[in-house]
Amino acid sequence: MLLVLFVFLFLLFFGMPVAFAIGISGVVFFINTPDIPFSIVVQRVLVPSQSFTMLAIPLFIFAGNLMNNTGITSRLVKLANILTGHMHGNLAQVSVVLSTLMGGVSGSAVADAAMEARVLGPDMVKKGYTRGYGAAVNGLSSLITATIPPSMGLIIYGAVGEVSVGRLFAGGILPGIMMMVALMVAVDITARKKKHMPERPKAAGLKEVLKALLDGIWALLFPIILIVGIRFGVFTPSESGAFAAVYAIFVGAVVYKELTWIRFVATLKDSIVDIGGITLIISASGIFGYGIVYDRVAQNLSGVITGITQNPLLLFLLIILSLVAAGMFIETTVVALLLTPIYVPIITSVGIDPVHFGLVMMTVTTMGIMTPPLGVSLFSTSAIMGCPPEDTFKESLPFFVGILGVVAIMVLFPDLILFVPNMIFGK
Amino acid sequence: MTGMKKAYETFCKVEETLVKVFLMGIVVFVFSSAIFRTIGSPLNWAVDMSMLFFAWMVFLGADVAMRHTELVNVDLFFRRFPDKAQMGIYLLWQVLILAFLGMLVAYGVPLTIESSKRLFQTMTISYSWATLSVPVGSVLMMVTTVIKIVRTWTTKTIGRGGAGECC
Amino acid sequence: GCGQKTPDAQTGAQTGTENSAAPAADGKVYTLKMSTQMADSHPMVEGFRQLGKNLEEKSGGRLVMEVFPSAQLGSDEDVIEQAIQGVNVAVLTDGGRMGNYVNDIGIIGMPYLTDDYEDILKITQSDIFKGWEQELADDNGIRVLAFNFYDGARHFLTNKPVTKPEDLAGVRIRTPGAPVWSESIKALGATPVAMPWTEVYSAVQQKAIDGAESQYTASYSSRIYEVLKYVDKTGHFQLINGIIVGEKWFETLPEDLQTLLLEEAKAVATENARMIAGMAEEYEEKMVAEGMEIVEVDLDAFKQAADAAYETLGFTELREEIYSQIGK
Ligand code: NA
Ligand code: NA
Repeated sequence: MLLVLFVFLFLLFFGMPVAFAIGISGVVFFINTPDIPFSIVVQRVLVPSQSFTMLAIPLFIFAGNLMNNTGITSRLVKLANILTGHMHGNLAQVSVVLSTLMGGVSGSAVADAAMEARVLGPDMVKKGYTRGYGAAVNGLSSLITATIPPSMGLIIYGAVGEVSVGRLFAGGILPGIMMMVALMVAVDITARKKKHMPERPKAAGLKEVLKALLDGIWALLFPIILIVGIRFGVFTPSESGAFAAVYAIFVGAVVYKELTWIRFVATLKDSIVDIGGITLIISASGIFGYGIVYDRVAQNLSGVITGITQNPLLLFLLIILSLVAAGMFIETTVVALLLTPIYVPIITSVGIDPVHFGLVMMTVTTMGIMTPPLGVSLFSTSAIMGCPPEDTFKESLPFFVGILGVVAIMVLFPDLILFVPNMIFGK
Repeated sequence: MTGMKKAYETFCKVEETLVKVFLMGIVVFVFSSAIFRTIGSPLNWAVDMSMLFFAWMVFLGADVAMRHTELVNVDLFFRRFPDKAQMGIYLLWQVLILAFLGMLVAYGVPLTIESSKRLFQTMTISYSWATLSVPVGSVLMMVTTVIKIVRTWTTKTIGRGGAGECC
Repeated sequence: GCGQKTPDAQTGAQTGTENSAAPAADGKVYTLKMSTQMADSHPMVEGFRQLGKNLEEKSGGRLVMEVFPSAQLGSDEDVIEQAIQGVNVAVLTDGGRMGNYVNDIGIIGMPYLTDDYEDILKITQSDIFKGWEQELADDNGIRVLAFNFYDGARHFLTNKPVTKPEDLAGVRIRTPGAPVWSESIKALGATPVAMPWTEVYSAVQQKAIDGAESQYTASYSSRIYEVLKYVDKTGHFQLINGIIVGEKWFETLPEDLQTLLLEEAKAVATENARMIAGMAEEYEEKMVAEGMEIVEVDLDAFKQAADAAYETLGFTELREEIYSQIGK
C-alpha cells in the first residue's frame, strides 16, 4: 500500500484531478495483487453509491442550492446583518452568524463557504476588506455549518463507525455555538486592528430584531423540526437530506413564493454539476478502500498507534494530529470513510466516548478544507474572492487559533458535547 | 453546425435531463419511503430504487460535471511549471484518465453480464442494472476526455472550463 | 508492501489440474479471506478462527485463512460476486442469497421448515441438497464448503406481547429485504420493514418501527433489550448459514487441500452449530436479566399462517419432497 500512497501523492501534486488520482492509484493496488481480478475495481467503484448513507451527500448539496434560490438564505443574511451591524467588521461577523444559522439547514461546509463568499464577498471588497481576509472568514466560519446539525460528515462517521447519528447531531449543537463565539472574538480582534468600523452606532432595537426573526422563522425552525423528526422516528438521519430538500422546495414555492419553475430547473442543473464532481471522488475512494482492508492496513496501523501510547489523552492527541495531516491532503468525506473504522475501535478501547470522539474528529478533519496543499474551500473561496490561496491562508491564521481553541475545550471537557445528547436521547 | 455536433448537443441535453430526473427521483423516493413507513405501510422497494438511481446519477453526473468544469485538482505546484510543461503533463494525465476509464469499460461489461443473477435486496430485478452504470458512464467520460484532448491540442491552451458549451 | 506473487486466479482452472497431479509438491501458500457481516464478538466468528487454525495446522501451513468480520470486504452480495469473479474470498451466506442462483435452495430460509438443528443437518446431507450444491458449482461458479452453520432460531422482539399471528396486525417489524424474509413476515401477520440491522436500535427507540425479529446472538450483542420488552418465542426461522468460495479459486487448490477445506469446514460448522444451539437457554436468561420478558406463543397458529408464504413463493411441493427425503 505504500506504493499506492506514493502514486496517489505524485498524481495529486502534478495536477491530476483528485477523483482520478484516487482511482488510478487504487488500481495500482490491484496490479500489485494478481489474486484479485480487475472486475472487482468495477464493483468497488460502484459500492459507495449503493450505500443509503451516502445518499445524504447529493441530497444535502441539492438542499443547500435550493436554500440559496428560495429566499431562505437571503432572509438569514438580513437577520445576521441586523444582529451584528453594531460590531467592528460587521460583514465578517455576518459571515460567522450566517454560518451558524445556515448550519441548521445545510449539512455541507464546502457548499456554505462557496455560497457565502459569493453572497458576501462583493460587499466585503467594496467596504475595503482585503480579498484574502474575506476568503478566510467565509471559508473558516463555514466549519460551524459542519458542526451544527444536520451534518454530512457526522452522518458518514455515524454510519461507518456504527455510532448513533441522532446523538452525534445533538452533540454538535454546543460545539457549534462555542465555535461561533470563538470566531466572533477572532473577527472582533482582527477587524479592530484593520479598522473596519461598525456600520451602525448601536445595536438594533428589539422590534427590528423580532421582525427579522419572524421573517426568517421558516429557516430557523428547520433544525428543530429535524431533531424532533428524528427523535420521534418520522425519518432517520440518513433521510434528513431528502427532508431538507423537500422543506426548501415547500418554503420557497409556497411560503416565500420565490422559487419559480425556471429557478428550480436552474438549481437542479447547478446541483447535478456539483454532485457529479464530488460523488466521483467518493466512488473512486471505493477502489482505494478495498486495498486498505485486503492488506489489513487498519490493523497494522492501529497496532503501531497503540504501541506508541495507551494513555487516552496522548492517544487522542496523536489521532488528532494524524487527522489534521490527513485532512490537509484528502477530502473530508474520504478521510471519514477511510479512518473512522480504524479509529473508533481504538478510542473506545481506551474508554473515549465515540460521540465525543466523532465530533472532535469531524471538526478537525473538516478544517482540512481550508488548509493547503489540498483545501477544497481554500481554493473555492480564494477563486471567488479573486486572490491567491496563499493570501487567504495567511489571513486565516487568527481563525485557526480560535477553532483549535474550541477543539482543545472539546477534547478536555467531553461533557460539554455529551450533555445535550444525554438530555434528548437519555444516557 | 455539423450533424455530428448537433447530435452530440442533443445527447448532452438528454443526459442532463436524465441526471436531473434521477436526483428528483431520489428525493421523492427517500422522502416518501419515510412518510409511508411512518403511517404504517412501508415502501420497501423505494430504498433499492433510490440506490439504482444513485448509481446512474453518479456516473452520468460525473460526465456532466466533467464537461462543465475542470474537476477538483491541486494546481499549487502545477501552475509554477512553464506553459509547455503544463500542457504536456495535462495531456499525459488525460491519456492516463482515458486508460483508467477504458479499464472500467473493459472489465465492467463482462461483470455486468456475469453477475446478472445477483438481485437487489427488495426488488427482484437484477443488480446488473446498477453495475451497467459504470461502463456506460465511463464510455461517456471517455468521449468527453477525447474532446478535451483535441481541444487542448488544437487551441494550445489547457481547457479550463470543460469540453462543451452545449445545454 | 502488498501482493504476494501468485498466479492469476483467472487461469486457475488449468493450474488446478496440474496441481492435483502432484499434490503438496509446489510448496505454495494459499490464502483464503473469510468475510462475514457479523461482528467480531459473534460466537460464529470464533468458529471461523477455529477453522483457520485447523486448516493451517493440518495443511502444514500451506492453507491460511484470515477472518474479516463486520463486512470489511463488502456486503455479502459484493463478496459473493468477488468469489464468483475469482478472488480468494469465502463468505458466510444464508439460503436466500443462494436462491438467486439456484431458486430451490431458497427454501431453507423459509419459516418452520425445520424445528431444530438436527433436522437442518439431515437436510444439508440429503440428495436433493447435494443436487443444489452441484448446480451452484457447475452453473454458477459457487462452491459450497459447508452449509451447516447455525445461528439459532429467530423470534419476534416487540413492545407488546404477541401470542398469535393476529397480535402482529399492523406491527412494523424490521426484517432483511429479500422476498423470502418479507413474504414470510407478512404471512406471519406483521408489516415487514426493510432496513439495515445496524439501524434497528435507533429506529425502535425513535418509533420508526415497532419491533424486529432476530436470533439471540444478534439481539443480545446489539443491546436490543434496552429498547424492546418482549421476546415472543415464535422460532419462525431456523438460521441455516453456509460458507461458500468461488469455484475459480477452489480449482487452483491442490486436491488434498480441496478435500481438507471441505471436510474441516463441515466439521467445524457442526461443532460450532451445536455450541450455538446449546447457548439458547443461556442467552434467554441473559435477556431476562436485562429486563425482557419471554412470551410463549401459539406455535400451531404461526405454523399454519406460514403456509401462505410457501404458497406465494411456490415452495409447497418442494417442502413435501424434502420432508419425504429426510423422513419428517
Ligand atoms: Na460564513
Ligand atoms: Na449543519
